[in-house]
Amino acid sequence: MHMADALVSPAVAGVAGVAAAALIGISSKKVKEITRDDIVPLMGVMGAFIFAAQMINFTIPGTGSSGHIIGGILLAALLGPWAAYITLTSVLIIQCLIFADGGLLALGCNILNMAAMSCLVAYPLIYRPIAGNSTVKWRIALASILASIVGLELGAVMVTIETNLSGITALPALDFLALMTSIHLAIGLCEGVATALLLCFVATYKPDLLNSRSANQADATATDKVHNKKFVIWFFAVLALIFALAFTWIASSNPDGLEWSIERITGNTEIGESIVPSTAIMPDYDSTFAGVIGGFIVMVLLWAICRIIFRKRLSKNYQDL
Amino acid sequence: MAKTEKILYSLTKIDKGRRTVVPTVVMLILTILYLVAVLSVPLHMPQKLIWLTAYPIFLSELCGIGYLKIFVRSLWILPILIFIGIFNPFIDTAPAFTIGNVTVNRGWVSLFSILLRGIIAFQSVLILVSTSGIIETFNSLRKIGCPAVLVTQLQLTYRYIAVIIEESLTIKRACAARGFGKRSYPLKLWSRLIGQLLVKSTHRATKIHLAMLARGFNGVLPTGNAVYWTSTSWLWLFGGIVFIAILRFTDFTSLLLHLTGNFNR
Amino acid sequence: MSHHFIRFTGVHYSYPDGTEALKGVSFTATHGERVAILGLNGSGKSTLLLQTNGLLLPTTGEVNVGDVPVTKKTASLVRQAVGMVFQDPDDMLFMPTVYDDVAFGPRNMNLPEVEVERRVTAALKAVGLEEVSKKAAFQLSGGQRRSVAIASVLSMKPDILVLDEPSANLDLSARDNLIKLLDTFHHTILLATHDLEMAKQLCPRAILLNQGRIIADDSTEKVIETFFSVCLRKEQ
Repeated sequence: MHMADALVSPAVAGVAGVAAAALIGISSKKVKEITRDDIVPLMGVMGAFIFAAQMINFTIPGTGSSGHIIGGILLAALLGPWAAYITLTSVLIIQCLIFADGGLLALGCNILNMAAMSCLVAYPLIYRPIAGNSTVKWRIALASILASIVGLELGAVMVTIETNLSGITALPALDFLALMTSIHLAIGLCEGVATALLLCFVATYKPDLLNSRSANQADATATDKVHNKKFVIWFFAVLALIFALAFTWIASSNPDGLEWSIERITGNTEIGESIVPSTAIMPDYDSTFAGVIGGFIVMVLLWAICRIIFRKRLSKNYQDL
Repeated sequence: MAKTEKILYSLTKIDKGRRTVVPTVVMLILTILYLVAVLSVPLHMPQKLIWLTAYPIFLSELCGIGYLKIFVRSLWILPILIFIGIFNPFIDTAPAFTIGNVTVNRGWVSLFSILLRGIIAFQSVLILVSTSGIIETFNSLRKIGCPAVLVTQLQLTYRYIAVIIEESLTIKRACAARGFGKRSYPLKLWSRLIGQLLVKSTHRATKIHLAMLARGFNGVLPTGNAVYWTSTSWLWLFGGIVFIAILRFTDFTSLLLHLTGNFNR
Repeated sequence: MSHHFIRFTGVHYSYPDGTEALKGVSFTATHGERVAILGLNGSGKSTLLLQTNGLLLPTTGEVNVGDVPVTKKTASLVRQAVGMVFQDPDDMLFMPTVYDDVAFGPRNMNLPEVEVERRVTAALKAVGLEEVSKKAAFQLSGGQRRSVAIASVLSMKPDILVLDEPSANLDLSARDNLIKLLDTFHHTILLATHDLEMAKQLCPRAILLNQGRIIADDSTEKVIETFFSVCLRKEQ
């Protein structure tokens, strides 16, 4: 689900980045309030654990293919939503900065889609009401499966919205949405079952991991309940703001784009001859071909020149890149 | 080599190969600016995008990585890009231009744009990743106002990835040694393996916490006061911005057509 | 120099799950004394070590470091005086670079950065690893990691050094270097180990723990003899 840079426009990336950063700010304040004093190393090691857990695949029953865990709900159940959000965010940042997995400009989108949706929306709205802090297995199982599916589906919806607002794919929004949500339903189910099994393992062999959080955060949970409603309202207010901004941007830069989206949403399925938003500007394609070829030749020349100038710098250390 | 081993290997190599020519913070800012420049090019103008390729070519050679390596590695991103863009040629069928008898529709042009911008955007991130020191990046993140909680978290996660992956590798090998011989495990078994790893990891967190306390830890990891911004940073930043701006805003295509036009005459 | 001794008086400790790990441990290690703590797995060695700087507090009994009784309040004070080297260096090296790891203790003591740098350089020099200060911990070999872990404690200039299995997982030459290094430390040392040779070389005195009790406290040679007889009795 990692989005690449190419799939977002700078405006969408910027808005998502600001939203993700705001949530990081809030979360880090909340994490400081956690009374459990080993939360710092625990979060660090759990972040590393998510990396390691993603290396070991499980077989998806009945299909023969394999998958791995993403871990939003798992982390939220073990660390609490705020700490989990920070942990997953740092995993995403490291995946981007060390392994170039997921774009740099798209980082804000990726954090919103994966970390915020599972830890800050699916966990408090689905997991906690069903399972709370209990160690009863069927509750844990039900809660993890539902929360994982909801979290991933929300993420998929976000991906669709972001891609479409960026005007990248010519595929109608609803078709794209259907494609994304059906893929992620399957992924979410697997994630949910895997999370459920893991949390049940924890509940059997190390229940204090689930309990101690509740014991140490007793006061935090109590106040959380009050804050919960406030928080949900607040979160959706931010979401609304994001979309409002994005729509305004689309509308101002490209009126036809908005019209086009609305047409799609209202069910006008007639595929016109030009539905890509950018065509509204009536682009001039005359010099496209020549420009591409000419540019290509110049770039090859540039490369050759650079090689000659910087030849001495070429280092063998990069062999492993 | 299996993926796990490969990542572990690249982790232990990661800071050895780095050669920071451009200061890390500047590199981060320039990469973001470059991405904005690339992604703001409309999809119907691939001729503009191709000029922006100058940035990864120049920088990769300047930093001694070699563009070829970056280029080959960047092809990995193609499948994702194709997945998103493949519908465009079939939906957006309005003709764009003709070469001889072949008419190219706008969908193909936008698909080409998506592939190109995806690849060069990915290349710029690859260059960032392989030149800038990760540790320095994290420290400078704190200097520019990132919450301490997140930076600490980044440092700890980065530190313990290798340790925990090694532990997971031990578990994996212990399984392989006893003859499961599969690349993935049935869910039930998998949950036990990962569950073990999880419990082990929390034990380790407890021990790390003790070791921190033993050395006077009081909730926040201390940092030194190293300098991450020098006067040469300004030079690099200024030069980089000018370079990117020239690439983005100059109409090289008409310039080139104009030149060759004159030449032909 | 009165603060360089450590005294256990009738220390009992039970873990929250009810396991009684220490059942009345009393001993004193005075300034400059090196004491090896021997015992089978699960005899309470590690628990005893954790009591020395207040990471665990006795259920009953008292631990004194110098004139200060170890309590929750005095723990941070005591931790500056007692440097503890853990069994797994990976647990101790959690900062991005070796330098930051060694500077962790001094920085927590709120020393000025100039003094921190001086101490870090001195500590790394003592273990012979000045050149790796900019590296990340996972780029070092096992022996180097152990040395850095020790340096990260030396930089706090502790009065008492407490080590848990320092020679575990070390090859012969790394172990020799470790012994030489510890030999240069002139303050009190408590050393929990299974490495009897090392105990003999470093520590004139040893304590033998068995099921949470001290069953021998004598010269290392004699204690090792007792140790063997205990082990043999168990096997019969």
